Amino acid sequence: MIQKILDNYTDIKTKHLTIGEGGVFTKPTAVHTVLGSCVAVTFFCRKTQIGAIFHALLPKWSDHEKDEFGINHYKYVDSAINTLCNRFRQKGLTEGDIECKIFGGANAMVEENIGMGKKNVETAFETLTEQKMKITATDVGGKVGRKIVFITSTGEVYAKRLGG
Amino acid sequence: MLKILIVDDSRSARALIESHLEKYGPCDHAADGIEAVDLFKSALEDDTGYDVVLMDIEMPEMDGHDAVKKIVEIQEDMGVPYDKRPKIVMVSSRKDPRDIMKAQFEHGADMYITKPFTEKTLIEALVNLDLLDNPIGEPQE
Repeated sequence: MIQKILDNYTDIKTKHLTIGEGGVFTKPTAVHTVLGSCVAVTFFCRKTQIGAIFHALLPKWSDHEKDEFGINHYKYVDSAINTLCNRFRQKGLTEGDIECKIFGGANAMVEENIGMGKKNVETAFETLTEQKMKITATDVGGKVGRKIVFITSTGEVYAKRLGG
Repeated sequence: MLKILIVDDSRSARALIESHLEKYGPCDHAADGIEAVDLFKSALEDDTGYDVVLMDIEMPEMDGHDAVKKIVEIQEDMGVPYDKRPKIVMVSSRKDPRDIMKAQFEHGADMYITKPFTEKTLIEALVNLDLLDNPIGEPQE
């Protein structure tokens, strides 16, 4: 499915990101994932061509966990953003070096998750603003899910709405 | 070819967007929300509706939020099917999350790009809205 994208890049790895996964990619990688009400934020540093992304299910870790120690930080939007921002800062990069894009947050069809997409996106904005990160584009909300492919070495994100 | 409506009170901002998009189709310009709504309505009535509207937010007379709201109302009144509606991309220097949430969750804009933007970001938005060849193809999930 992403072969057409990969044809444009040589020496690029692929990685399928599932819920609660994320990370910083220093080598060119096409990271792909499918989002419903979940949110993915991509981070890209043009200077170093380092990219990062996560796929989080829920807005805030403190609504579900007693202690941040030992949790899966990529499961929650706020802790995922904080974790990746810290990873960039450890590499000597500052907020001015990084461009972020937000994807996902569709309206969930499952009753207990109604409104979760919007809350996930709100938390992403709130946490990125606290971290003083620059948001360049958002593709959020709506009624259908999205498949996205993030090229970590260029910052490009290809998205496709699913069905609908 | 795409039919494109560029809405911005800055003539230079409209010219910049047109310089990036003119190769994909003719671009009409509107300098405020009222002009945009009029052009949009006329195009629908003439059966030559737009494929995409690029909408600024801060404009005199009628701002981008109200213009998008009005455009959606017009389409509902005229019974334009959801899948035939033009894509709406907000292009604004406003980076306040409340503006972005309002545009995408309340008014139904498809995407939001913050100024200053690159040509690549603009083209990426049109690709991701399936207005230009989308390399993802048709996902099965």
